[in-house]
Amino acid sequence: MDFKQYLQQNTVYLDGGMGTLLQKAGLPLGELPERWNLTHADVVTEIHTAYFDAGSHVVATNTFGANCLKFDDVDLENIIRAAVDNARAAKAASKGGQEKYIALDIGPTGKLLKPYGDFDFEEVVETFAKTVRLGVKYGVDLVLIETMGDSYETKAALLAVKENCDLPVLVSCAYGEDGKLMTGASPEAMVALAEGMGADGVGINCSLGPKQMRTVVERLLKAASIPVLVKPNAGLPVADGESTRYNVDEDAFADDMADFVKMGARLVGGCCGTTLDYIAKTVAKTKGIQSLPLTEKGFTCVSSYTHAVYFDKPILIGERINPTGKKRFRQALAEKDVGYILNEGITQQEKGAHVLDVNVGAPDINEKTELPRYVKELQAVIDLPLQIDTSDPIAMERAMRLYNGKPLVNSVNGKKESMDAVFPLVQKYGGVVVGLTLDESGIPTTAAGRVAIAEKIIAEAAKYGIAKKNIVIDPLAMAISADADAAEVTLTAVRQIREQLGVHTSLGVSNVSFGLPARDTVNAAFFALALENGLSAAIMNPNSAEMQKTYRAFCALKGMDGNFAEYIRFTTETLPNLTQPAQAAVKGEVETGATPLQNAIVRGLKTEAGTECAALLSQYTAQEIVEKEIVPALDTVGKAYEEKRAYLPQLLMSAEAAKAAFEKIKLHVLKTGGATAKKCKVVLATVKGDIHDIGKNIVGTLLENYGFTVVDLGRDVKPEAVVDAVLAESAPIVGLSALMTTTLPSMAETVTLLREKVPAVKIMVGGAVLTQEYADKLGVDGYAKDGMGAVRIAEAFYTKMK
Amino acid sequence: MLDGVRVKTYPAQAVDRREVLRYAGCQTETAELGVALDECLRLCDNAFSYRVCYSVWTVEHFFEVFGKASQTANTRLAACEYVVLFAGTVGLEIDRLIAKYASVAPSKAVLLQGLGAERIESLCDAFCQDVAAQAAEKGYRAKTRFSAGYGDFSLTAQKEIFLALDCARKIGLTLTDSLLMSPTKSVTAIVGIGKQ
Repeated sequence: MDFKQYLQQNTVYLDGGMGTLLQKAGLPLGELPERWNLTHADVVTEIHTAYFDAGSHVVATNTFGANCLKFDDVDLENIIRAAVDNARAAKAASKGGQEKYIALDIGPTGKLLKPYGDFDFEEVVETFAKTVRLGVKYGVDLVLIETMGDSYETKAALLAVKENCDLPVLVSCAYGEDGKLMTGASPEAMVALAEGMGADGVGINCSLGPKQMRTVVERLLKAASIPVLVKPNAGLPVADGESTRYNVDEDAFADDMADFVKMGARLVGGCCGTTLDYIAKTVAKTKGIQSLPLTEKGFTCVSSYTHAVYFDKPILIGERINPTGKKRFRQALAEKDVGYILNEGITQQEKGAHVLDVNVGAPDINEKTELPRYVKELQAVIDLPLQIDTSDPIAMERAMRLYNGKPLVNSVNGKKESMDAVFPLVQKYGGVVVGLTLDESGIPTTAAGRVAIAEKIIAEAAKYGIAKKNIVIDPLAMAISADADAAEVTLTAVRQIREQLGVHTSLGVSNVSFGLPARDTVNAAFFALALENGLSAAIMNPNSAEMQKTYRAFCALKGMDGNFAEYIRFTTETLPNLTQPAQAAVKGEVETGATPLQNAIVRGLKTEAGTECAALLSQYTAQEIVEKEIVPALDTVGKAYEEKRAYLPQLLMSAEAAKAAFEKIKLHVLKTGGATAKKCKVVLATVKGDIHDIGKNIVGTLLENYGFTVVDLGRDVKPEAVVDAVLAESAPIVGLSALMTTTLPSMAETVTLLREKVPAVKIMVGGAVLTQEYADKLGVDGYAKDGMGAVRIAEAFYTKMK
Repeated sequence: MLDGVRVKTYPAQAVDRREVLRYAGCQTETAELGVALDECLRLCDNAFSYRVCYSVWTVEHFFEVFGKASQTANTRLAACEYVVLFAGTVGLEIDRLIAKYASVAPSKAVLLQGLGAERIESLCDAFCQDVAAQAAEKGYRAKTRFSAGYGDFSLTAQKEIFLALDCARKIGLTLTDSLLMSPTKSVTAIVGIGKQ
C-alpha cells in the first residue's frame, strides 16, 4: 500500500537507534557511521532486518550525515546507493508480515545559516537536494528529515525535498527541555512551517526521553492537522562508571509510547539509546490501540522563527514599513538605511503589533532585490511574523522563499492574472494569503459584489490545494469622504464573509478616514465597528493611541483577555509611551552642555535631544544647528571619551541622542526642501569570513554624526562587493573591520583588490586583532584603534581632499 | 576517549554587574550606565540558555589527536592524567539582540555584548567548579582551563574539538569556515586533571 494512504488509517512504527547498534557492533567513536553502509553492509542490513522483524513499518537508511559537506560526490553516491540497497535487502529478508517502507534519513548539516552562521540558505537547499536526488534515484519510499535544531535549516531541507521529488516527507525536530529548538522555534511554529510547505508528518525526536517530551507532544497534537511523529531517546544519559547508559528501560519506554498513541501520535519509534527490544515492546503494547482519526484543526496561523500567531482573536498588523506617502521612509530606502527600517519594526513590536507588514514598493526601488533584503534584515532581529506586501510576483517569490517561517502574503485579488501568479507561490512555500475583493471590473460598490469576489478567490485557491484557513479576505475599507455609504458596505461585507464563507478578514482600517481631519478619531470608531462585525486582522499604525485603545478595550470587553492582563499591561506600559514618550530621567554625571540641546546630547537623552532640536529649527537653519549645537556637544563627549572620562556606552548614548536630533533636521529639510550639508561617502564593511560587526556599527554611527554618508555593506563581505560598492557610490573613503586572526587574510585580499581597482580610495582599518604595525604591513592609509579614532582619520582624509 | 559526549544544562548564575560593565569598557557604574544596564537585563529576560557538552579523555589520547607541537598545551597538561574537553554556549538569542540594537541603539549593543561575555564566562566557571569538585572526590586536581588560540595552542584545534564534541547536535554550537563560533557567546576549552 502507498505510504501516505497507509498513514491515513494506521499507527506507523518507525525504527529505533542506528548509531547505538553500530557502536555495539564495533563502530569506533569518531568514525563516520555512513561509511559502514559500504564497509559493513552486512551489519547495517542485519540491523534494518531486525527492526523490520521487531515490527517497524519504516526503517530509515543509515544516511543521517550523508551530505556533500562530509563526502565528495563519488563517495556520497556510493554511500547512499549502498544505504538504500542495505535497507532493501533487509526488507526482503525480514519475516515480518507488515507493510514495509524505506525512508531516506536526513539529519542537520551541523552548520548555522546566515546571518548568524556562514552558510547561505540556497547553499543549504542545494546540499540537501544532492542527498535527496540520490535517495530518489536509488528508490526510497519516503524522506525523513530528523533531529533538526533550526527552523530555517528545516525549511531548506523541506524545500530540497519538495523541489526534487513527490515522495512523502516527514519532518522531526530536536527540542530542548524548554520546549524550543536550539534557535528558538516553538512546536506551533514548526507545525505552521511544516504544514505550510506540505509535509506529511511533523514531530519530535532525540535529545529527550519520552517523559520530557510529553508537553511538546501535546502541543504538536493540538496544533497539527497532519500526523504527529514521536521518536524519543531511551531517556536521559547517565554516567555508569566509565560508560554512559540511558535511564529508561524497554518496558517503561513502551508504556510511554502507548500513552502517546492514545493521545493521537501516529508515527512512533525510538532515537538514541533505543534498540530492537524498545521497538518490539512498543509494537506489542500499542498494537491493540485504535489509532485516533486525523482531524483538520482549521487554524489560521502564521509564524516567525520563534512562534506562531493564531487568528483566534483579532490581530494587529503594523503598517509602518511602507514608503507610501512617507518622504523620510523613501529617503531611507534610497540610502539603504537598514537601521531606519529596522527601527520602524522594533518600535511597532514594542507597541504590541503581532505581525509586521513589509512593503518597499516605490519608484526607483527595485523590489525584486530590496524586498528580500529587508525581509532578511527584519527576520534576523525581530521575532514577529512578517506580511510580505508586494504586487510584484518575482519579489514576492524571492521573499517567501527565504522567509524563516510561514508568512502572511499581501496580496492576491480576484483578477485571473493575480491568482495565476500568487496561488502557485502559496502552494509551494506555504503562507496565509490576503485576498482583496476586486477584479477585472474594479471594486464592487455593494457588499454582495465583494462577497462574490471572495467566493471566487476561495474557489480558485482550492484548485491549488489552498485551504480556506489559509485565506484572509480584505473587503477593502474605502474613504467615506468620497462615498458616504463606503463604511457600511465594507462592514456588511466583513460580516457576511465571516458568517457565510467562514474565512477570516483583514482591513487597512485607516483608509476609511482619508480626506477628513482628526483621522484617528474616525479610524478608531470604524475599527470598533469592524471588530464587532467580525474583523480578524487590522493593518494599522501601532503608534496610534486611539486605535490601540479601541483594540485593547474590545478584547477586554469580549472576554478575549483573561484577567485583563493585556489591557492592564497596555495601560501601564504601552499607553504612557504613546501619549507622552518616556525618558529615563537620570542625572548626568559626565558633564553638562551649554545649551539645552547640547545638554541633551552630552547626557545621551534621545527624546529631549529630538524635542530641543525641533524647537531650534523654527529659529535657525539646519547648518547652524549642526555646527553650533550638535558638533560641539559631540566633541565634548568625544574628548571626554578620548581622555577616558566617559566610557564607550556613554559615547554611544550621546551619538544616539545626536542621531535623534539629526532625524528632526532630516524631516525638516524634506518638508522645506534644500539639503543638509554632507561631507563625503564612506563605505564600511566587515571582511569576508567575519561575522562580528559591532565595532564597525559603532564607527558607522559616529561617522554619520560627524556628517559623513555611510554606506554599510554589513558583515562577511566579499572583496569584490567592497570594490563594487566603492565604485558604484564613488566613495573616496573605505573602512574595513576584522575581529579574528583567521579573517586577516581576507582583509589583506580586500586591500589588494581595492588598490588594484580603485587606487585613489583612502583605506582605513580597525578591529580587535589589528595593530598599527599590521596596518602598515597592509599598506593602508589609516589605522583606527576605536570609533573616535576612525572619525578623526576620516576627517583628516576629508580635509586633505578639500 | 574514555566515553561519549555528555550534555549538562545549568540554571542562570547571578549577574556580576561590574564584570558586565568591564567587558563593555566601563570602569565604574554611573547612574546612566546603571539605568541602561537594567534596561538591557530586562531585554534579556529568558534570552539565555546555559548548555555545556563535554568529554573526558586520557592525556595520551589528547596528544594523539592534537599533537605535541604546542608548548602551551604541553606545559598546561604536564603531570596530568586526564583532560576534560568542553564547549559551552549561552545560545543564539543574545546574538539576535546584539544585532537588533547594533544599528538602532549601539550603546545597548555594547552593553548586551558585555552581558553576553559575562554570562558565558560565568557558565564556564560554574562548569569548571563542578569538574574540580568531581576531580577532588577522586583525589585529583583540576587545572585552569585554556582554549584554542591561547598561547601557541592553535585556533585550528577548534576543528578537532568540534568534531570530538559533536557541538552542533549536542548544544547547538557551530563553527564557521573561518573558525568563528556561532552563537558567538560560546567557549571551548580544555581542563587538565592530575594528581598534583
